Amino acid sequence: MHKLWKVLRWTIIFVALVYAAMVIYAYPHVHQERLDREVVAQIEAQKITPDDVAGAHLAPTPDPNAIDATVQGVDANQNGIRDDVELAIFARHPTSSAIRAAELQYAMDLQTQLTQVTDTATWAAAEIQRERGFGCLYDTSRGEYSRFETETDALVINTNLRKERFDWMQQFGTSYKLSFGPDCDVSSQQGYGN
Amino acid sequence: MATKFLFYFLFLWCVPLIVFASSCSPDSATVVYINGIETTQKEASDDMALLRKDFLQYRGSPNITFLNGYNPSHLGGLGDAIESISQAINSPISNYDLFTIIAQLASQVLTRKVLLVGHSQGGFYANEIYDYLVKSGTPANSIGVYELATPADHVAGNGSYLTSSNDTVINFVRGSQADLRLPQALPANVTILEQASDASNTWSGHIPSVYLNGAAARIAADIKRALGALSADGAGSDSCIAAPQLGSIYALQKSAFAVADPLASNIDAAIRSTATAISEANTIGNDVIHTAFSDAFFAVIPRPTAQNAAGVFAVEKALYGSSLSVADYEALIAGKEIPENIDPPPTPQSKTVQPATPIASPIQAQQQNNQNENPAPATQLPQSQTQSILPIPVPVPITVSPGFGGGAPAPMRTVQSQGSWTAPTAEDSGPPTSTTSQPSAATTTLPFAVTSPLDQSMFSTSTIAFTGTTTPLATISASFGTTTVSTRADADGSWSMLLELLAGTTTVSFGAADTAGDTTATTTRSIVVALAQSTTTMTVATTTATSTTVATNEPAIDNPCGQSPLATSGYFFSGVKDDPEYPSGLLEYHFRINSAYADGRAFKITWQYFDDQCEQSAPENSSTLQVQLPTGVTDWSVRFSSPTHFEIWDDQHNAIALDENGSPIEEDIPALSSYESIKISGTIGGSASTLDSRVVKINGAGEPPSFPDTAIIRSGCTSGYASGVLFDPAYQKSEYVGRLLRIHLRLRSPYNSGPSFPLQVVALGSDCGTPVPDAPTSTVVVSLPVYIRYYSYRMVTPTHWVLWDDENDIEACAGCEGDIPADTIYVGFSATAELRGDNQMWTPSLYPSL
Repeated sequence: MHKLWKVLRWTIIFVALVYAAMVIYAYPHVHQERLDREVVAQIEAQKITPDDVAGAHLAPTPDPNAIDATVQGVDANQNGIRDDVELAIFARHPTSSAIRAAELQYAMDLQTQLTQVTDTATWAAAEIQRERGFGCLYDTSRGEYSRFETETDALVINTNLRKERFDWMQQFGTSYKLSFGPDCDVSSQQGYGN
Repeated sequence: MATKFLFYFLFLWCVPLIVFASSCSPDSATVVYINGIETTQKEASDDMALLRKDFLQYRGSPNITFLNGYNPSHLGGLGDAIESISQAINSPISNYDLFTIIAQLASQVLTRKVLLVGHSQGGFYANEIYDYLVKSGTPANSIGVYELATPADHVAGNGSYLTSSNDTVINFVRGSQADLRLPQALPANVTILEQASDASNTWSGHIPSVYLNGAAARIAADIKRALGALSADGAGSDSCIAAPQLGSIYALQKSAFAVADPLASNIDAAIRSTATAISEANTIGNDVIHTAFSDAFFAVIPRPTAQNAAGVFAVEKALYGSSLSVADYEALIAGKEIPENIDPPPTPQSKTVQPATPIASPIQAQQQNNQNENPAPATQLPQSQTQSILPIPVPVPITVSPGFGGGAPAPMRTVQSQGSWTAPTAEDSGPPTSTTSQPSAATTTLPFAVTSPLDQSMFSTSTIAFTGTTTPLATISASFGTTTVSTRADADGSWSMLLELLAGTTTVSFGAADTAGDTTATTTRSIVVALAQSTTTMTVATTTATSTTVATNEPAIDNPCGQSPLATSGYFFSGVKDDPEYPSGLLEYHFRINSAYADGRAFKITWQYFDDQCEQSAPENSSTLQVQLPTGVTDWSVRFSSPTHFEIWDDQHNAIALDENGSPIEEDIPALSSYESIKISGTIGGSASTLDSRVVKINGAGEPPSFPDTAIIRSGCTSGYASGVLFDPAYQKSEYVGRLLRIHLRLRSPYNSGPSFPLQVVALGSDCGTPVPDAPTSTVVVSLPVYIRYYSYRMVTPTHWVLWDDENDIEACAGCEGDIPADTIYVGFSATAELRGDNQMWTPSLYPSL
């Protein structure tokens, strides 16, 4: 019995060492997964607010030289929507809060795709959000969702740099599930801000 | 101690596996959407979102998971085209995308019950995934398949499908499959109205949004039915979907595509740019590209076997114009000599096609035709040349990268700009065609004849029937003056068209073109029309290559939606008659088929309803009637005997048409609003010939209710508006009758299928912003009768309101009423309905209650 235990003990020690080695080997991947989870949680938490729709914190006109210099562009009011895009949406839809809300949400989701997707996990999270934005456009603009989608696409993905980034991101495309629940972050039920 | 330690160690080691194995739910279900060819991730995602919108809108369970099985494009779309062709002949050349989709699903699907919904090529994949899963041990009763716009000849697992008769892509595919004697795509079983944007789109009516917007209720119902038929019984305890073993070949293909796809996208952009230029110069530009695709296909398709020789040969023959027979082809595969005796090609006039009869090569047919009909300047080839004719030249070189095939990479073939090709190795897996270069790139002249009437014929009527023969499914054009009319030859090569000519002599020029871009020489007929009275002013115009529209001056009442008049395509429905009338107040719509085909053959009709704003309305018809007129009868009609019943009539015998069992062909329809309109559609031979009537009222005098709008919203009070799709923000009329307020509103079609919703009465004081002290705080759940659009809130006393059905002028439902406090100054009615999982809101206007 003692001999058996001795053999088993060494076996277990060996397995434990192998396991430890695997843990060390896998650490970068696990670390990346943890980072992913944080980014995914951040993507999922990103929502427009009634104040965004009401233009309560509308940013001043950004520097024309800066708006298209990078993929990120300028987001002075830090609401996830590029300032040039936000101002353009307000200019195009000054009276329709519902359409404005839907386009702002969709624009924010597109911008999220451009700036936060680095792998399959973040792609899926961002794509789910973009589909919510698309669904909101659909719900808000019966029959004309395609026009509003195209309009917002053109505002957000407006330079070769951003087009390339958008295409590059598609390499991470995978299967994903549509989210449950309402698509619009802000709806008429909640009100469109002051 | 040691034993305990060992036990706990092993237990903890295995726990994650135990948890993982039990995560497949038998209760819920997953809908997997698989897109078609040349669809981006973004487009596929949007289409899946639309699919779920439709599903939820028509009361599908919100607990169903929607998952995308993305079918990526490869080689700038060329890979998709090749794969599709191979799937059409049930010999997919690659399982790469199939395995990619299944591998992704394996980690995502967490339910036993799975419904695969495929659009276009996605239908092929849905079938293949079904087969894979069943072979992998998944119980067949837990998997379902539903297909939209499917090019497949079947739906796996006896699933259902939806294909529109207006789907030009599937119509084209079906025609090509018929031409190639391949299994044909399932026939159209719905007619979805063409969208305004379709006019400029050659391949209109095919994209998913056309289906998802145009037949939402039907799709939702089909999916619900398919989900309801699924069962989790018999499933094991393993994972929901068995992941495929992705071997080294898959890894190699993945690497190859990672390099080739971006490269091909750039080449594809160049091709498209060139194709656009060609298209502007030549309407057969698309066919050039298709030919290029087809040629590339033969660079990678596996060598045909004796089992699939006939199918592969049919593809090759049509694409390359080979004059070989199936027997020759099989002999070549077997390494034998080509038989000496070659069956004579059938004449184009023959209406009987035997499946084994070889297709006449354009050259042979032309040679024969030249003996019978006007000589045409055909491109003659030496009689001894019995091997393949080379394809039409491709404007830019196209190379097909290896890696798409399921096995070893195929040798590369280069299509050169002069239309010749070279096989770099003797092991080229392409068909056994000649390596001789084709010196000329000229198109081949098709056989073509106008058999009736003869030149210089004289008629006492202005409607002249022209008939003739040409290559099967070729497009025939007739031009006279500034008018051009087109139609399509049937599978036998026969064609006919009715032309409306002015009095005097008219010279009509005829020509034809097939899908490969071959054309005919022009044939002319000078026709003399000698009318006893003044000439007719009716003209004939053409809208598309295969659709004929007759312009008439019918009164607007027959065409309330302002849509195009009767539109027909193909050989059968080309007997032009478009005559709606209301002899008893209800619709009688008269049509005529082509007299050349009045031989008792059966056709199908479907119909759709439209509301007073010409929106397609509920209910969405899912019925089809099969009609078989007696031999010799061309005139028929749809006649309503009551607002909820119509019959098909044989107008020439003035009798109800009978079906094969001798029963009247008739249909009951739901009780609709009096202002509803209908559109009749007909199809025959899949969609070889189609008819689409105009949108006409069922009840000629039916009108929606009309009310004055005289009540005024006071300054400082809100004006009503809607969000969502149910409540119509464009309609609000308010009035006082006997000093009592009535607010008239409207629902939108097709959402008015008897909705129920909680109603909140807003009772406010003098400042239009503060509720009166005893204002009602609870909601009243009300409902409206099915298909009613117009309704109102009516104060019947100063403190009592009733929900009213304005169309029938009755109370809308029992208990749909309530009271407001006597001190109410301003009143409004706020409604919130649940539709598609989202709230549909009506925020009320506030009016003085008295």
